[in-house]
Amino acid sequence: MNTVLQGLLSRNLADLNGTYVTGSLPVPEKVLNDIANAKIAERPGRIKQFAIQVGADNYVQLGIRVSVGPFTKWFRPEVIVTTETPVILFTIASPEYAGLMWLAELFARELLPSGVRIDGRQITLDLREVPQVAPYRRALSYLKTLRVSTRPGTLMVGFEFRID
Amino acid sequence: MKEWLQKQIDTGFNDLKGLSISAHVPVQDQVINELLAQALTGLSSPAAPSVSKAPDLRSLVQFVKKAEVHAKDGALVIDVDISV
Repeated sequence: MNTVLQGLLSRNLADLNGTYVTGSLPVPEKVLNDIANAKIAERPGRIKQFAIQVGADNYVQLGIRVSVGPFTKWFRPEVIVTTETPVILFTIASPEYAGLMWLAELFARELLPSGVRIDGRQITLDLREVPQVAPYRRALSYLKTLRVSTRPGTLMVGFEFRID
Repeated sequence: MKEWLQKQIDTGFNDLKGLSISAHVPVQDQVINELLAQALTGLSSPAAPSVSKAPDLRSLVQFVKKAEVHAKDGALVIDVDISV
């Protein structure tokens, strides 16, 4: 890592006191599908394909084609995406999928970094526990707001980062 | 991910239309001195052959809508607005 950046992080970004960054990022479902399908192409496993659809009111349908014995089968659970900065929460909204949490566990084991927890119908992704984020963990304390909302076809991510 | 980023650069970030970031960053003089020292060290070292395959981010400049720098209380304050 760049030595100046290392120095900044070791001083807990105190040299950047007063920094304020806000942003919003619309992520079309095409991008979510491209990234998710590229990920499974890199590490082939039981998950064969994703077809994610973003609805309104934070509803997302996770189409997942999984190999079951010699066949493949589509599962399409709906989840509600919310945030409790810096944690992203996915709550299974389809009651018929509540008994299929093994699918979420398979998903987590094959594709997602550690930092993912499965508890009942809720899957949480704590950004502080993601290994790739480890060098910047202390900087995450300055992430004051992380918002996720949806409109049909697009996931909207908003953030506010403030060093004070 | 790198391939995906390169694709976005090649297509003018078409998939990320609507992205906006606004930043206000006061950089203390100590950090500027460290950056200068590092730049000078790099200039005085023999050039190493480049092996990096990182995406070329120069095309991102077109999305910078505002970039201002001013000095205040021992810091350089950078204000940047980016939108796609």
